[in-house]
Amino acid sequence: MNSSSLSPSILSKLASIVGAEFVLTSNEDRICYAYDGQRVEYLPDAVVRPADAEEISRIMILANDEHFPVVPRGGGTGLSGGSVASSGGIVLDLTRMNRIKEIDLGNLHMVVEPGVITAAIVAEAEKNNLLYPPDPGSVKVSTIGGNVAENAGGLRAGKYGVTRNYLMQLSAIAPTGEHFRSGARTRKCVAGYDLVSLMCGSEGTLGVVTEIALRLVPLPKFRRSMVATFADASTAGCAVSNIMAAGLIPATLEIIDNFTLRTIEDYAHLGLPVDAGALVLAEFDGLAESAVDEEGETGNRVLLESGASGVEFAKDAAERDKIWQARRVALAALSRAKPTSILEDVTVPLPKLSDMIARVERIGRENGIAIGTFGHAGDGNLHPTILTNERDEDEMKRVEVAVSQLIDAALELGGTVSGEHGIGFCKAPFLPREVGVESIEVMQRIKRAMDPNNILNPGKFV
Amino acid sequence: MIPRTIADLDDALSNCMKCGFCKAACPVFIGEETTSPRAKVRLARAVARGDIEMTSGFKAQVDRCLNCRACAAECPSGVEPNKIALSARCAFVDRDGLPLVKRLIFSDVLKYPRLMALGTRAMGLAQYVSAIDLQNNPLRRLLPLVGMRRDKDLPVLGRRSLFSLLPERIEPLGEHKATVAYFPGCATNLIYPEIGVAVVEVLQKLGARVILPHDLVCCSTPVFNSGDIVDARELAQRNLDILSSIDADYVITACGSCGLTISQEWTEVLGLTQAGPIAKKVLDISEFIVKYIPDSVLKPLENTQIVTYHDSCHLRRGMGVYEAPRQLLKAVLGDNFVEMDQADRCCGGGGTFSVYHPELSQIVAETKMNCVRDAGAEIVAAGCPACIMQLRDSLVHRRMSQRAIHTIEIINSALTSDE
Repeated sequence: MNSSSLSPSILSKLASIVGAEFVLTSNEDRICYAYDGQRVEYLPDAVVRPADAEEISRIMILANDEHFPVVPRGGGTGLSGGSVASSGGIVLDLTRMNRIKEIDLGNLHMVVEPGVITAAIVAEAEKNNLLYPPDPGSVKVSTIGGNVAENAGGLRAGKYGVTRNYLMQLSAIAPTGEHFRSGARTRKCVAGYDLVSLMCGSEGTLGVVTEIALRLVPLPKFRRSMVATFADASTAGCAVSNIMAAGLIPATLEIIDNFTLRTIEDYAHLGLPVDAGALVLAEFDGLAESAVDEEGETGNRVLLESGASGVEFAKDAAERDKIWQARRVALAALSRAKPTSILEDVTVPLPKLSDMIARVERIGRENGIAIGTFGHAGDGNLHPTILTNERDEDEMKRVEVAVSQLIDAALELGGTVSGEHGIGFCKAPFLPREVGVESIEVMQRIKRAMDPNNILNPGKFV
Repeated sequence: MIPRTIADLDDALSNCMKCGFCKAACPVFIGEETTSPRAKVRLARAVARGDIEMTSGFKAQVDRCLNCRACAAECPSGVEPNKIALSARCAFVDRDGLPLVKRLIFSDVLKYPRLMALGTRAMGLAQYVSAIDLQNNPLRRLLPLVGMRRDKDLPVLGRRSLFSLLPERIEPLGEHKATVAYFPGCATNLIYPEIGVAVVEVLQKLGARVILPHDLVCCSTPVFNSGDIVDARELAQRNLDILSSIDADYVITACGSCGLTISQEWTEVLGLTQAGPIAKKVLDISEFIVKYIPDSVLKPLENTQIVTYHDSCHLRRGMGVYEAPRQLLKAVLGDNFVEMDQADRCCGGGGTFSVYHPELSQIVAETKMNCVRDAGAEIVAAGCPACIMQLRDSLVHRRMSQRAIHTIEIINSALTSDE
């Protein structure tokens, strides 16, 4: 085990900024901050847990003076390595900054610190009959700061959009320590460069967000859930884009392939039709019952016309729960089937969804590896999940090949390497394939302008 | 039997995909990653793979677990961080032995129930002599010296134990319908005998002949939870011999921890494969009532206080008892039964946890107390005396007026005899 490479004098300066108890340097502590939700780990030299923006500013100034990397971290649930200190330095744990500061019912906004758990924001909004829509799978444990840094999506993105669509205003600390702010607590704002959008999805490479004003929407009162059975996944994929073409926007539109379906059934015994090629789960929501019912009926018709062998509606909350139970346990079921599961995040334009599903199946077959596919079909966002064993070296080599092929397939179909998990270091090698070296060069110029000493989260995609 | 060395855990440790979902469930996770179940699993893996030694830092993390099972229930991959922490505790005891106080209690005192009864009576006498008013006693200034808060709610000791109050065989009132062995557990026998009396009265009213062997010893929960498998096995074996000699239809428990330990942990943790037949007979008192009660016998209580129900972790996530106590409370209380938010969140007791981590135990209790308060309840009922001890202490600490009692005490008052 390597010991910390930060000098005692730097550590004591850090301690004087945040307090000694909030600088963690033991091997045990560093191991606990070496990981996020993906497999590759790097030990940080220390963990620093600031209490406010001013402390973060002083840490950034010190880091520039002493030249050590700073890696911001929230819940540590990311899936691309964004919060892992791949170039050493300190992990900046923002979870002490966890206050909900304000909710404004007249302006429909909430002001929060970056360390608030996203589910707490959703709960606070609901208490006031409002909705904060982005709901990544990790919503109960990820922080809003991490969601902003990764531009997190979730199950409701097809209708409601992603984290970026709910940001009104951000306060942040620049990599060189200055406080800055962008956006306004207004419905519209075109004052200068849109730094809010630049910060969102920048994966902690351009600044540390210290305060966020979030936009809220009215809480939908009515829901209509249904599940459709298809003979094969490609037909199901076509049905998804037919739904969109019919002018419908379901709040949630998910797909589960046959492999995943069987794995779920083995695990949870829900009485699912294991012979089906794929299931499509849809939910319409809204403020008026008649409108939601009408959308549900049209959805039903389109699914049947698209080749569904059957569509079942949820008659009450219990049946609705049963429909979504299958989707909720998908990851659990898959991850129990083998010791290691690798969750991919390819996303394609909706009309290409069917092709992408077929390609995933072929890639799995040709490489002799098990891939279960489920995902946010309504966003064209699939999560092909590779089931493997990280201690089987031969198979892991084939997994690497398959991942690369999956990404190539998505790009050929006009899609992207990552819909919502981010690039970090995991997907960094694939980024030039998607955006080209020229775009990478532009990103690097922005990075250099903001962070001349390459202090903030170095070694990631840029 | 659970692995007693970290190296043997390697497969279980590999299954953790580090998603962190356990953090949402863990009551002792307080923001710093090191306090999460995921961190315990990851540290155990570092030890298993030789990255670090079994250090005191690692020990501090694995000791910091209530074994409430919430992490295991939440884990998508089927990892049981609580069991991993338990294995690590066993490995530490195997390497370092037990601290003196635990060694004395686990190796000696717990094996002699009459000595324990005498001990609690002696402590009761000391309580009596030192001053009758326990809450305002000047001697409380000494409590911090043994790691307790000055306002710790100390149960009134020194009353007669359940075993001295009741004979070993109690006949049913009315027609004999079943014969049951009742395993009361230490807390009920020595500290809250009134719970045991209520259990036996209920059993009698439902037509059960109750066998209450006076030589039963501790079920072994606190012993193996401290990592002491050797003494735990001895206690479990002794109980097992006694229970196996009784021709009973059921082994009744009214304590989540005793019930879970007999029905599952004697086999799964301690590896007593011969415990199977007894394990299958274990039934929580609430489930026995639901199974045996004739429809007309429970009479709704009039003008009761507002009651909410706290799920003992070991009842809810261990034994899977959820519906029965609610069904009974609703039948008896009607609208005066209210659900609280997060009813199945741990109260922070965790057996000896509240003694060794008094501050953290109260941080955990804070959530529970807020939920009790928000539910508008005047009484919080629970199915486990260990929870009741923690709930009472937490209520006293906050000067709250609510009372904590065992579910069975309410049910007993609403149960008329079948005669």
